[in-house]
Amino acid sequence: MLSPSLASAGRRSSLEPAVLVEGLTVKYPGRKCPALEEVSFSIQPGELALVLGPSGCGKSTLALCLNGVIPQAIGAMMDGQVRVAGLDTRHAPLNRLSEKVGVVFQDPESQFCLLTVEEEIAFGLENLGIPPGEMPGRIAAALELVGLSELRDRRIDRLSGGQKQRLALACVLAMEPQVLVLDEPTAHLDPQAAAEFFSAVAHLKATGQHTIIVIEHRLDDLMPLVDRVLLFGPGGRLLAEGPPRAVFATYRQDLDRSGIWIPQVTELAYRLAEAGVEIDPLPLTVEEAAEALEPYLGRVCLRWPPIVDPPERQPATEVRRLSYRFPSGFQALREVSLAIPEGSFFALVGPNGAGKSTLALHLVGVLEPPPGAVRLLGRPLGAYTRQGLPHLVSYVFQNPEHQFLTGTVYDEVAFGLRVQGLAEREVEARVSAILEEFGLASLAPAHPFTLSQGEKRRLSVATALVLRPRLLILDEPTFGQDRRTTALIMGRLRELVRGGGTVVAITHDLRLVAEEASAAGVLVAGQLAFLGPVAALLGSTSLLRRAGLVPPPLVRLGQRLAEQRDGLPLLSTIEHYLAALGAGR
Amino acid sequence: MSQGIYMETSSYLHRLNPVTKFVLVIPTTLILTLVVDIAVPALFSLFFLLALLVLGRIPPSRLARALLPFLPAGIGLLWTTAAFYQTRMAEAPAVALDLGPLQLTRAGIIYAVSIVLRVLAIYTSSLLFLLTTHPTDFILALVQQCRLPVRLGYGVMAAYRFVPLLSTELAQIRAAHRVRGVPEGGGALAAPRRLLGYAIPLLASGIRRAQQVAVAMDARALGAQRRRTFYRHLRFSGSDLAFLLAYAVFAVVVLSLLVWMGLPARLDPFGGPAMRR
Repeated sequence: MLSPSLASAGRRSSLEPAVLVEGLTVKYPGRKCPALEEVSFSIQPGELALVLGPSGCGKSTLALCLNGVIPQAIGAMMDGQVRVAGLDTRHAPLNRLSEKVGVVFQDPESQFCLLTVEEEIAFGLENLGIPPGEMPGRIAAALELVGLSELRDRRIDRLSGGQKQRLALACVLAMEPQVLVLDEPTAHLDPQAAAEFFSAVAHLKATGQHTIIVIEHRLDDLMPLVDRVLLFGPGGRLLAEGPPRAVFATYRQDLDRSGIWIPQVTELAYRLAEAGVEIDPLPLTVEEAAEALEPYLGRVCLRWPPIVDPPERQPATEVRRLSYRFPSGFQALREVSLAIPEGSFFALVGPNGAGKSTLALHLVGVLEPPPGAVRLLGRPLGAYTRQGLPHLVSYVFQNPEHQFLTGTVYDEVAFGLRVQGLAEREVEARVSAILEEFGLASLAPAHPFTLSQGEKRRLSVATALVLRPRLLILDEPTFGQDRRTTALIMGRLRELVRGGGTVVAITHDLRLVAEEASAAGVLVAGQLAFLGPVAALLGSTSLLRRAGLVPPPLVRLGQRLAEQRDGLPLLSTIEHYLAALGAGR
Repeated sequence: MSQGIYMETSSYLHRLNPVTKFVLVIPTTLILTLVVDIAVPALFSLFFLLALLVLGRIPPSRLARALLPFLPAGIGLLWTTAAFYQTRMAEAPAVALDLGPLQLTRAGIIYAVSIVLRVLAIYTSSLLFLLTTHPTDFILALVQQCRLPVRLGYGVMAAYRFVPLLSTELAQIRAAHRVRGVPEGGGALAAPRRLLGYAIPLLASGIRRAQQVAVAMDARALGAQRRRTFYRHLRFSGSDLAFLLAYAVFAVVVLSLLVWMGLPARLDPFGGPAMRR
């Protein structure tokens, strides 16, 4: 790290880092604890730095400090200094700063205000007072960089989420900044769109003209680009700074404790090391892991854990030739038929708008299926009363806030039990137990809307699980969750399944599918394109592509290993690798 | 649904400055409140409808659909105005339609028709604006031509994008509440309470989005420069002048015809002839 005296000692123009942060402390009015505390680091021109940290550690606050929005537009107390491309963010005019620093935010729906792609890019240039004659050239160049040249005249509301995020990137690129800050840019994107976004970032990095700071949870595609990692701890303090391999090798405990996602192959290496298979150097990408595992291929265990056929069970839910057309005329489902056996974990995947939620809403009767098209636990759905269904089925929506009904966390969990008419003593016992288990006990009197995103998700899952449903449907259960929350929720779902319950997860998260699900269905444009065991889905790259998915890192690694060693089945989860490398018991 | 009833196409009217089309509503309303007559509002309505069909390239079916909401309002207005019409004339008015307890007078019916036609003329003049102007363009024109503060103008546009999102979100919230066993129907208090339950999550996400947009706009230097430039400058062009002139000529011709033929004297239902006596 540069010492302050060195940074200010002449030779500034050539040696000054692109970003220099010294003793940065930020405190929002009305908050007891600062959002960032005594943060110092510097980033050299052309570097790509990855910012990691638990949720609520001040990562987004840092992004706003870098372009001067804090303290100039948002009132927050700020100590220390931030210099970006030689400008002090406290004093430099915001328009000059936004020529130096561009920020892309996470929500594709709330970054735009105009109608068309072209006009939206022009908006930033207009704000800077760029002469109109210069604009078309700059717009074209920015679109070229992110691969959207064809969509110049397209209306923004007709773009996909991934295209919107690349547009947001183009909008800041047109302002020709030296520093780019990407604040969880792929949080709302499906895996394919995220991969496209990262490839645009890779392209930018290759031009060498930008210093890039990325706040991200999805690391697998990003790791090859990362030069440095800034690891934040709870309370907005900088825990570590350095090359990614060193940080991941040294700070495993902090990463685990804070529930921060790490590259999947790195996690695999951690687990293998625990089991006595030491891999050095620590792999960060699939390529590195494939190389590192090659020497072990000779001793892999080919006696693959026998797949035990699950005992024949009656279907928890059964759909027969279900079609559905929205009142708008949009055909959401076409002749879908499937059966999901009791006591199984089923994954429903497919691109956005393929009809996954529409199908799931039919399973629980929120959308009324035609008579006989959907059966629940052996009886036609129509045979159940509206009061009876909530005893048997629960549904966890993607946005937890949508399903909150009461004013406290406690009442929220108790609501369903009370609807069922349970005695208050029983209600209390069950609610307290599950709040304890989900780490929400201390928040029992709080209003659900005041919780953090992770807490809201845990609460919404708890409200469903407390009912002990026979069929539980979850829409993107891992969306935006840290590693710890995800592990907690998955553990509980596994228990539910072991107890004979049935789980249907709508998801883009193939890691979740690989680790938890036994069978999967792929919906494409309202039609069932695949129905079968998960291993068959993961093995088919073309099928995954049609579903808007990309093979997760461990599957890609497994494919490469299988090419090198005959007879090796496709390894797709950490447990598989432990078993195959003889590290498991 | 984010654009109201705007119809996307390319036409002479679409290319006019939004302010031009918006401004026309004002003299039209003024003239029609001052002149009580059947021919004048009928001619004005015809003017706007023809302009929409020919200069605005709005298909007749689309135009008919846009006029549809006027039908129930128009019939209701016609009926109540005719039924409750009170004459100030001394002699008993001529009864045109005898419905027992209710008698519709000839003057009453004429007056009612003129009222409905006036409203129709104002309605069609608004259609000329609404069908051919994208809301975003209107706000842009207000910023560029009428000096609407930049932050306010672009703020409104950003908020406007959220309208379709709101309805999607509302549908999701209703489904979520239903799954959790919130009773549908119920007593008189159930419906308002349910609506409140929908409003809280909608407000929460609305406020969050508004904050995010505000920060995103700040980050792109909105309002940081005193002089902003415009990529797409909405100017007043010759076409605007031509259209305004055509409108003025039409209005003057119609009004002078009216005076020349002495029409107001004959049709003024407030009993003009009686007072002149």
